[in-house]
Amino acid sequence: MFLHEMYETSLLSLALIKTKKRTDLFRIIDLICYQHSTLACALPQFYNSNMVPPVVVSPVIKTARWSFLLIGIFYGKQRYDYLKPRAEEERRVEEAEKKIREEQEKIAKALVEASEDTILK
Amino acid sequence: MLFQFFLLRWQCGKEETEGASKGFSSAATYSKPRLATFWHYAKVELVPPSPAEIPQAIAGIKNILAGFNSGRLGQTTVKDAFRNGMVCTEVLMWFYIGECIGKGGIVGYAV
Repeated sequence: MFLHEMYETSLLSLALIKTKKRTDLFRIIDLICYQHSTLACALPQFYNSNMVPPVVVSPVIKTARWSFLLIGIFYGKQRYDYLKPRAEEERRVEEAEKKIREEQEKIAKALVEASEDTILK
Repeated sequence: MLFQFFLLRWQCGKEETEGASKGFSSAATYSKPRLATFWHYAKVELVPPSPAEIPQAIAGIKNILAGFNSGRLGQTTVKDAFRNGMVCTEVLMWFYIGECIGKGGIVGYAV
């Protein structure tokens, strides 16, 4: 039954491609997707009992899961707040040291260039 | 067959550069029943414990501790122990999911 409808709509879509009516084609494709998705999911599957009923989870596991989730969120936020100023401080210190290092390298390079005995300048 | 429909959709969309928003409607119609099944299970399985269930949970944990002390937990079969180990691992992993949410990223802290 469903296959027949899909066949019809696919024929219609092929006809519409020829006429190049884009908006109608999109609507047909939406219809096909909806048909296929209702085929794949929702009620028929439940009636055919391919899907198991949902499991009733024990309260121990439920509280454990949610409490770990909340503890994790809390821990992540705390750790982030702890690490953020330290990382900024380290970046600042690194910048200053890099500047000093570059100055020294420039001086060293200038000295080397001045003291080499080549006439190919 | 669904792949062919999406391919057709994509090919039509390539020629129309203006109508980009039309792609989402077919994705919505595709995912709506799947979302429905997700909610069907999530309403029962993923829901947080109600206030009435928390004393039950505490009693359950006390039960487990009593069983550990009395040596009853030593009597579990390997199959049961494996299953319980899997469940414990899954429960512990929620901590890391919470940490990812709290720090605002998946890998590493974005400081």
